[in-house]
Amino acid sequence: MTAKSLELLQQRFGAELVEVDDYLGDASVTVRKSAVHEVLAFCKDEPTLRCDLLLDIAGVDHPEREERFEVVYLLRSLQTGTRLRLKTTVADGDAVSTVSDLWRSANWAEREVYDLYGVRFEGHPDPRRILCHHEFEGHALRKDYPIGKGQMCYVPEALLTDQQVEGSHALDVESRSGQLQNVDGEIASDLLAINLGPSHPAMHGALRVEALLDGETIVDARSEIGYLHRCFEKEAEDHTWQQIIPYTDRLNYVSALTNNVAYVHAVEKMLQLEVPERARVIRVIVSEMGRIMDHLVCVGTNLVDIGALTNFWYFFNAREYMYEVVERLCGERLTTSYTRIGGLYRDLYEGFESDLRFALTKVAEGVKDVTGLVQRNRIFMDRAIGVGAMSAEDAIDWGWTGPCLRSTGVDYDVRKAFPYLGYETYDFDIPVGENGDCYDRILCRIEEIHQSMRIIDQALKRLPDGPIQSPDRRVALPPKDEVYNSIEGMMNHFKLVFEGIQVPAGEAYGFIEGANGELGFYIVSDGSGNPYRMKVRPPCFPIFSSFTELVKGQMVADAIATLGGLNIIAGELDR
Amino acid sequence: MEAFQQMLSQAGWAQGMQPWALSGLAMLFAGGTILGGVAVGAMFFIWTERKVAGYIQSRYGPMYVGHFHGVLQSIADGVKLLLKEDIWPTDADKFLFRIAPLLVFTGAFLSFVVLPFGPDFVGASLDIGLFYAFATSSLVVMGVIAAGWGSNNKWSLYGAMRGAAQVISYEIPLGLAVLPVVMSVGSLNLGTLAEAQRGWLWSWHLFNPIFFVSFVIYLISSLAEVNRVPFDLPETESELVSGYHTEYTGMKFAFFFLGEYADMFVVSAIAVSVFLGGWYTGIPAVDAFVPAPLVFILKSVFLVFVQIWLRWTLPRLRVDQLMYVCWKVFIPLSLANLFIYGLIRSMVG
Amino acid sequence: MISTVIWCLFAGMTVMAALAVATSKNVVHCGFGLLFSLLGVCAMYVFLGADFLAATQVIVYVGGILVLILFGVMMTHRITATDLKSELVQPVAALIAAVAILVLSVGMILEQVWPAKEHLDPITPTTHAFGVSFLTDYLFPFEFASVLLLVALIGAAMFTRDSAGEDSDHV
Repeated sequence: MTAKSLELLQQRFGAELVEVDDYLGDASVTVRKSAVHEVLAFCKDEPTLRCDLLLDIAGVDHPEREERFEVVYLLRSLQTGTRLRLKTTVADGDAVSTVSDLWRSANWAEREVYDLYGVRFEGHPDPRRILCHHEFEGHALRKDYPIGKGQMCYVPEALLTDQQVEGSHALDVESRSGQLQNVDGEIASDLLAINLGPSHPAMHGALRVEALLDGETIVDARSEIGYLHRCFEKEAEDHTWQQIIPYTDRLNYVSALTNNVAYVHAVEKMLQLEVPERARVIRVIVSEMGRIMDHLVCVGTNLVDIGALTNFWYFFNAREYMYEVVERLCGERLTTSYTRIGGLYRDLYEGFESDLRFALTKVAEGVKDVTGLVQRNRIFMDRAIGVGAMSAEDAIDWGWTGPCLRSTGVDYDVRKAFPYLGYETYDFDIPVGENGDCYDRILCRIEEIHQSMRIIDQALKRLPDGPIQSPDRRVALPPKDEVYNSIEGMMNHFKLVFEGIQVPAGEAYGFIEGANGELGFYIVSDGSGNPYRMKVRPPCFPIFSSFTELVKGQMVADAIATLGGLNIIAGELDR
Repeated sequence: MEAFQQMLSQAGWAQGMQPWALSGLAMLFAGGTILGGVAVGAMFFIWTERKVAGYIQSRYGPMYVGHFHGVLQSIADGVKLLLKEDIWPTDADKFLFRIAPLLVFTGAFLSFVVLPFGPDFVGASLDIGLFYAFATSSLVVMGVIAAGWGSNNKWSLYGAMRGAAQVISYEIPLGLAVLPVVMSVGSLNLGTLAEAQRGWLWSWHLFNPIFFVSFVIYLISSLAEVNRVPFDLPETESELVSGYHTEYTGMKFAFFFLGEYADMFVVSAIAVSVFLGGWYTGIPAVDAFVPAPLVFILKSVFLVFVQIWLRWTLPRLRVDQLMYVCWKVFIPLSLANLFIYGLIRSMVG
Repeated sequence: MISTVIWCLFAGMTVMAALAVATSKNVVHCGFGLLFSLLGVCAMYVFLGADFLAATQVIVYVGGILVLILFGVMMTHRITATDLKSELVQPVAALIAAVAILVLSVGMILEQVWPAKEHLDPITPTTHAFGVSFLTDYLFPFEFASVLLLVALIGAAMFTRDSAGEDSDHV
């Protein structure tokens, strides 16, 4: 597939292509800046490529080069299975033409590149910063931006346009930096501008949506993210490969285990490292545990948003049993840091299987209780069916993945489409919805809990004995015997401890099916002990970018129900 | 009140007092009793709510204060609320912000006067008792509006608007639902309505098919009237933060809280006297030796329990669905019910 | 004695609240002044033994009309509370109208021979009498008022439907 698509591109755009590469099986093409839009449009429309999903856009900074920035487009086709990485280079101050007219998911992705690197996108409809504050000076991910340099920014950003605000009557004069003080006297319309968040009970985490309401109907809305931005990607460039693992816990803190697996999966891809079978099976178990816990949280809180409080406890009680297992396994509940490059932090403890099976029966009970309470409940159906509905085409256009995409009827799941960790050998189904509304999303997630339990059951049955850590000396510490008695062992130990794992220079995109969609790590290594560039592709970033479009014309209550169902985790959204 | 006056006039220390002083004292006593009853009752309901919620959600609820299952939790909360700082939002409408909790609580409190706890155990046996009870709930609406407007907060205002629209809408099916019973008994006096259900269980109005429909409409509408799930739209914590009482703290908040639970009891008590046989147990022989107020209160508490039970079971409606249910389902239904009952009555005689 | 004191209190409340309605600069405050004024009038009815009328006063005027007035005020002017002012527009005309009404009503009060009872039974059921006179002596006005209200209701529904356009099928 890879070779064929590269060939096709070469035939079509021979002169425009600077470099073609398929290192580690990732088809990668570098094109001239002027041809970016044309090539991407071709990739999208060409029947044999059909890259309908723009996963993410990443920037890379090489200050020593003349055209210092690389802009990397990660493409995926759900129909042909094509995986393509398209790159272009751009000098400081230059602009790349936007592709937000091809994929709506490009809108926020390009804003992020602009925010963190200062690369402008020509023709972008909304060229603002996204993760950093609008008063922030400089671009945080440039190599010449000092890692410790903080900036104090105070004035909140006005999201709605002045015109919209003029026409409405806002109460919170303070939060609009004095813009509204001239709004008195004549009243132009009956619209009301209102701030949902950043501290609002329904904004899980800290998100801000400013909505323009006509009565209770949302006429227009703008969202603002970045309240939890801590520049994980910059931190990653300053740490050794192993040291990054604890940071991945804090991306999606609801399913930290899955994040751990995703990160080491990507790094091991770069190292071309095989992990022992036992570790692979355990990774399957823990990532499915993460998925279950994530779905429990998402569905539980979503039901709270609709007013069904009790379900929250039924799910959280079940999750508590899961957390007990997690705590015994990793020593921590939330910040698990369970995986290591090449294996795991430690083996399963004695009695893990019976503990986990017990916890899973509790989960099954909770799921049964909740389904009984809501699935055929008239009020719940009225509140959820048709609310926040998204069509399959739109969902793909927005870059949705995971349960949210599957609820629209697309059966795309990385575990089936691009199996990893031996998922192809497990027997499980991919639940899909029909309407892509709040109801389908909840039911999809609930069914995925069942499927994950099936996978865990099979994994527990086949769990082989053996080591949990790869013996590969590039990543594993040598046995003590060698360290004490041989110079090679001693040096090996010293290098690993002081310099960390050396990942060969190159780049790769490793991805797995996270609880909320495709969770990918695009990694560039220069062969030193630290990553040169680490780009996370969080599933909820493109999903949340569509939120304001999704809720226009809906009522406030629907917007809140929709938001809960999308499962936006601020930790991975803002990184 | 008359009973108090009589009691006082017989007491030794009150001999020789002016009649006006005597009746004034009686008024104070009666008012104080009801106020105390309302406050203690509401506290009890708050504790019940928390315990019931706990059991429904497979947790414990309050367990420590008062040693036995946290019985004194509400008192501890009350003390806490008393000691809390009284916060005024910037630019709040001082006057409205202050009177809102009073209006809400007064509205709830006034209704207690007409509740017939027993044949001789009623604050004031008004002939328009039912009508009066509905009238006092208007004050609650005004309180909600005052709170929403006075708080100078958009979420509060939205809560107030929802609350006002909801309560004035649901007053209509609420009133229409009880009319067949009023027609049948020929009185608006709650005591008389209860009296009409003397005898065996099946003489309760609940077991008449027409009145049963009324009862169901009444019960659901009363949930909306007191802003309980699935109709808790004025305070929907996930949407409106906390609705009209978002900005309230301390005792002002406590007044809203007490008012809400007192109102729950009032609507339940009205349902009991109109539909569920008032203070009668349903077995004539038992009626003789069971104290009437006990039966009445137990039945009302049961209905309060039903409200709590529903709250922790159901999701909430959206604001347009709420209005739909009222105007397109309940009002036509209750009108049809009323019409059919009138038809039957005029044909049967 | 005590009832006289209470009567005076309520009368005072009615007058003071009415004054507040007339003089307050804040429209919402006017609304709440009206609330207390209406409640005072309701108390007057109670003193006259007209319990049904008193409750109706509260249900219709406080629970219905006043709520709608305040609703309307909040809906149209939204929340810029500070500049919700009622102003003195035509002081001369207002004064003339007020004086005319005062003279007329004082004159009427003095002219009219009021039927007075020596002793007022505190609990006289008035509901039944109301019902009977509505359906006998005052049937036409009663029905006329009902039809008028129905027309108003349908008209209101029509207006809101028009302005809401196609989105209003839910409501």
